[in-house]
Formats: sequence, structure tokens, C-alpha cells
Amino acid sequence: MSSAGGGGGRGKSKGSKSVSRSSKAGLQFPVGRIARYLKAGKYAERVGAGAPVYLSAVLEYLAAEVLELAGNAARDNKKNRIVPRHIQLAVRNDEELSRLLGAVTIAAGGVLPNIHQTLLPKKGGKDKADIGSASQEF
Amino acid sequence: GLLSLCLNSTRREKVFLLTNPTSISICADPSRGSSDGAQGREEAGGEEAQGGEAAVGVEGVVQGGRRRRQEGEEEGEEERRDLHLQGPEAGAPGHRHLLQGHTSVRLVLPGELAKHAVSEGTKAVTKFTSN
Repeated sequence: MSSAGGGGGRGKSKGSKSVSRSSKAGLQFPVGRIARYLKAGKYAERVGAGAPVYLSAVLEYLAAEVLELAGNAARDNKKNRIVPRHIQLAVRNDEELSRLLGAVTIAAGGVLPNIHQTLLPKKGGKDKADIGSASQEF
Repeated sequence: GLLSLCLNSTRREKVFLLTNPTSISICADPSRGSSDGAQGREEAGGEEAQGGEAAVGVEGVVQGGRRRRQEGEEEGEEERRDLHLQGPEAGAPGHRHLLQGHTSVRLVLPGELAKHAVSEGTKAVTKFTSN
């Protein structure tokens, strides 16, 4: 949990100490900032109290999901730093994230390695002489 | 070549062995192994392509930390949900927020992502109102 607010009880005595709404909800994402964005963005005239808490939780879950998969991709490539390639590999290999970000282009992400089966050279015994070059059969 | 098998021991067992041509990816391994062994590459609902002699390098990517990470937290969440709805401090505004939050998250996010996101949002609002 975040230690932005006071660790003790609720601040009402001896100069009230502020307790952040993120720590009240047990989140890492900022509830107050998202509430300000919801109010300033003019999505509606009034914004309920639970809406920024709910939205912060959903955004935090999505960020944690992408970062976990990208961290796994970076570790599999023996790297300690996540680069856009790892995020692309993580997103395109997951079915639901790939559908969520289907219309999204990740800069410097590349593509998944994929060669169609008809383009691969045949594995027959005829082409042992041409094992180096995959030419057409005349 | 590099063969890295990443076996994911969750319910959705999917192993991705990605053949890595030099002209496509950035972190390509330039060493070429001329092995005749077929390297299986399987996609969920996708095409099956076998790289025999054209395989350059292999990257293993593990999919899905979703169910493994969330499974322990969901049990406590259900108990807390029942406790919250039965409690005296549970009023109509809190319930209405939860119902409205369900709809928009389920519309935007696909499948399992929506289910877990709704669970996370409900848990956060429950903890926020009780705090």
C-alpha cells in the first residue's frame, strides 16, 4: 500500500493529517487526480464519489496485467529492462489483450515472428542437393 | 540455436515458441542452426506453422499471469462482498455505483479482463466505503 497519508488513525484531532483516498481504497493509482480529470473533462455535470475509486482500480489492474506480461517477456529474452518490443510481444501473444488493443500500433514494437507454412521449404528427400537454397521445382 | 521452453503451469497451458527470423525482430540471434528438427509453434485458434530449416532463433514468451495471480485474492473478495452488502452502512448510492461500473467495464474490456477488472473495482469501492 502507499504511505502517502498518515499511518495512524483518521486525522481529526491536533491539526488534521490528510489521508489520501488511494490509501483508503488500497490502491496505487491516484484517486484524487482521476476525480479531477473526471470533473474537468466535462463527461457529466456531476461525478459520484465511488466512480474515481472504481476507475482507478480498473486502470491499476490493466497496468499491472500489461506490466506482468511484459516483464515475463523481458525475462525470457534475458533482459532486465522492458523495451517496447517486450510490450508488443506480451500484448500480441495474449488473446484478450490482443483483442483489446486490436486497433493499436505500438511504436518500435515490430511484429510477431510468423512464417506461413506454404512458404517454408519442403522436408522431402528430393531436395537434399538443394538444401542450402530453396528454389522452385521445375 | 536457443531452445527455451517456458511451461506455464496454469489452467490455460499455452506455450509459445516463436521462430525468430533475422529480418523481423530487433533482438535477433544471428547464429544459425541448421537442424532438421521441426520446431512446433502453436497459437490459440491460429495457424500451425512448422519451421524446419528456416529456424534462426527461439524466443519463449509465457502468457497469462492473470489467473495465477488473482486466484488467491478472489476468495477474500467474495466474503468481503457479502459482508458489505449485508452491512448497515451499505446504502443505495454505493450499490448504484457498483451496478453502473459493471456495465461500462464489461462493454469495454473483453472476457476474462472484464471479470477481473470488475472484481478489482468492486473490492476497491468496498474498501473505500468501509474505510
